[in-house]
Amino acid sequence: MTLIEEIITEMAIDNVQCRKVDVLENIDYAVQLGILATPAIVINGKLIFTSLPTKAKLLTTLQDYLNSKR
Amino acid sequence: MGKYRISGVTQQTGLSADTLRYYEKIELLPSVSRNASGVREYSDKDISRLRFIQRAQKMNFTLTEIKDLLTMRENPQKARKSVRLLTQQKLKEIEEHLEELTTLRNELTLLINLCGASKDGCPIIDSLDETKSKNKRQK
Repeated sequence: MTLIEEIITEMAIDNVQCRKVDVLENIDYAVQLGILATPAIVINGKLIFTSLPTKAKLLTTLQDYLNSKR
Repeated sequence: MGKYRISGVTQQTGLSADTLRYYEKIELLPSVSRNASGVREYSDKDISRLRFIQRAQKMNFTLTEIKDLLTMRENPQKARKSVRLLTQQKLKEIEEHLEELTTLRNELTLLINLCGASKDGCPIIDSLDETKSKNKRQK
C-alpha cells in the first residue's frame, strides 16, 4: 500500500480516488502535468509534490484540499 | 566599387562557392557579371545582398521567403505590411517550435531522472523500444 492509499484509508474518506500512474507508460500525460521526476503526487490534475512528502504533510495537504472543496 | 572573385566572396561571407552558384541558379542573386574570361565578378551590391540573405537565414526564413523579402527590400516603405505579416508568421512558427522543444526537454529530463532511479533495465531504451515496453507491461 502506498503512503497516499494508507492515508485515504486512515481518513476513511470515500470521495477521494487514488490512481497510480506508470509515467513510462503515460509519459505524455506526465510531462503535461509537469512531472520531471518520480515520485510525484498530483491532486486533481495539479502537481503538488515533486518528491515524497512526509505522512503528516500529505495528510495536512489532503485535509486542506478537502476543506476548501466544502 | 569593388569587384570580387568567387574565392574572395567565400572568404568574406563564409559561404561556399557551390552555395554562391546555387543562389545565382535559383535567382536569389541576379546574374553575376563576368569578366572577359567568363569569370564571375561579384559587386558590393551582390555582397550586400548575400549578407541580407545570411541575416534572414539566421532569423529562420526559408530561401523562398528570403526571395520574397529581397523583392520587398527593393521598396521597403511599400512592403511594410507584407514584411510584417511574413515576420509574424515566422514568429508564430518559432513559438510553436519552442513549445515542442520545451515538451521534449521535459520528457528527456523525466527519462533521465527515471533512468537514474531505476534499479533494473533502462527506462530510456524501454520508452524508445515500444514493443519491449508493451511486453514488459503485459507481464
